Amino acid sequence: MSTKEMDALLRFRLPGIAGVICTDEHGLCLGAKGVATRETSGHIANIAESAARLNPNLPPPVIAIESEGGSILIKKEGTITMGIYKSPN
Amino acid sequence: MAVPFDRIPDSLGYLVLTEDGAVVNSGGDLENKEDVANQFMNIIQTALRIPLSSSKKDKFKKLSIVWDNFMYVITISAHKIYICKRRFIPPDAAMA
Repeated sequence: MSTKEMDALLRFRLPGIAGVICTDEHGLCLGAKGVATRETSGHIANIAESAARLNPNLPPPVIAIESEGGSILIKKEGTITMGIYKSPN
Repeated sequence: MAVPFDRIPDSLGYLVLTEDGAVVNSGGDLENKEDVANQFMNIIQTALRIPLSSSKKDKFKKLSIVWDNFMYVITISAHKIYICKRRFIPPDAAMA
């Protein structure tokens, strides 16, 4: 996903989306928009990879980290990992 | 203390860990799975480092790892880590 596409994702103002982050399989931040910060790219890539290793025969899972301050949805697809920050309702 | 995991709908297994990852209790598909517990600990420790909001004290309340048909739901309470493996039934798309 290019930075243009990430901008578009935020510009559409889809309800509740506060930020987007995109990393490669090594944790290198390819883009971070909104509340997402580059510093978290390593953690996000690590979580996606570790979760996928729980069941290596299955496609990578979706990881949802939820708290009162919002939530993050993380998914690995090929060599790219995406994180979507959602604001609380 | 027995935790009533059988009351959780569609529960397939559970793990209860201490904060440092030792298995206190387990059952179902996750019974005696210490290696899986260690993998979960890595995920949980990384998730605790991700800031979810501007408040540094905001730690996650629930961590879900979802595949097509099942999921693991993780929460931390009273210095214990609770992991439940549950069947996942995706919600139906809205019917016209």
